[in-house]
Amino acid sequence: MKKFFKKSLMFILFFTIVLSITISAFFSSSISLKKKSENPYSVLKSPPTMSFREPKNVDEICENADVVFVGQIKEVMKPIEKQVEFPENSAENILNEKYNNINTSTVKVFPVKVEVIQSIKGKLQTKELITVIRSSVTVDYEPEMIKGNRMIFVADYNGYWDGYVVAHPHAGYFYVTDDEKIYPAYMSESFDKVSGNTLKTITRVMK
Amino acid sequence: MKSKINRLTCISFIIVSIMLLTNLSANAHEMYLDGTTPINLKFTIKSSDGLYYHTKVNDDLLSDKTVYRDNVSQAIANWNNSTTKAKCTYDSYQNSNVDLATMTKEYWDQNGYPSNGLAITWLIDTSGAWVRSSSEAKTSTKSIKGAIIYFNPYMDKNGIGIAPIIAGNQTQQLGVIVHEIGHVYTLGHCDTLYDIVSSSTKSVMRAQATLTMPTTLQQHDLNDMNAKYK
Repeated sequence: MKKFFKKSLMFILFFTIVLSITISAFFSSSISLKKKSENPYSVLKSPPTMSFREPKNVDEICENADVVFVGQIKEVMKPIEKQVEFPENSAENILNEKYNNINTSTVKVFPVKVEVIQSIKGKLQTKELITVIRSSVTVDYEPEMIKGNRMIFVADYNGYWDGYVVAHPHAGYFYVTDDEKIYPAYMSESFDKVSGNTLKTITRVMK
Repeated sequence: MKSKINRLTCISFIIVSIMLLTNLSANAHEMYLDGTTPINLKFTIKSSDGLYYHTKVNDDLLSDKTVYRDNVSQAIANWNNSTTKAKCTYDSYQNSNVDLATMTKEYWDQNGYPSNGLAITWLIDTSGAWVRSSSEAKTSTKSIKGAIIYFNPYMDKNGIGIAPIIAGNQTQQLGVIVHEIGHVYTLGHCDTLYDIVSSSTKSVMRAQATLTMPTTLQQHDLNDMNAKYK
């Protein structure tokens, strides 16, 4: 009888240890990332007139965005210039009168057609063709859009243009290489951990 | 004779070195480039005694709910107390030459600005034209008479979604206003376009706003200001 209890106790102990190791291994692999290789992409310059907050890490910028998806660039469209009217009593209207300028109401955006290859977060569907809108302030300082290239986009829906604006001109983009490796367009210690990891690994973090 | 030549060579070398060093340190970081050449802009409104470059700041058009409102007076004080030729005071909307405003959500979206953008500074030159890009800077009078600093409308205290996270902390909000006033004095980001400073150099003019960013002008900023405004 005593022997039986001892055996059972040993079995429970062994089972608990194995279970703990399995659980901790699963969670550690799904949360922490280790840099796999050097980022081969060059550091991008920042827009001169707009200030940006420094994103804490990949998880944070994805958590706050409407959508995260792998997209393939289908077409870099011509810029759209549009005259917009300011609502009465809006700050823009009041300031426009004060400084007596004529072109405050002209906005210019740079649209890019992107096909969704894989939706990581949000309501986008695979094969959906969407428009990514880039502002005149940031466009020259964002990663170059090359037809056929794939990238991960971290973006927010923009109702006015019925398209998506990438959350940060650098931190909202991740290059996807032909061999399915990921490199962030934003160079920082926390983002660097992502460098060289596979698309499969990254999508687990970005959800 | 030989020693005279040596002495002359030595003196010439020293003079050239001094000239080079003076020239290098005399250039502040500019906001815009024409190709690879910095475009020298300058805020030109002087105080009534003619001794200082006077920014008169007003925040009437900042949303009541904005996270920035509480930090405006401190940002003005931080600039005014700096040992530079800058004079920065609060003034009425009628008299101000720097207006802080919360952009409407409609206009923010129409411009396609990103959610992580904090603020944008639009300079106005002495002919009344906007200076918001390199091309506009190139054709401007290069003399700046005022500016509008627009803040992200999605960062109101009662805003939805990512607003509370984006808003950061009080240090960051104060730092952002101090940084934007730096742009009014036509200072550019010191860590991204050219002559990039080392990562250890502290400055209010770094491109990214962090939770621990400086809120008072650092030695680098003082050097840039003193090079531009003598």
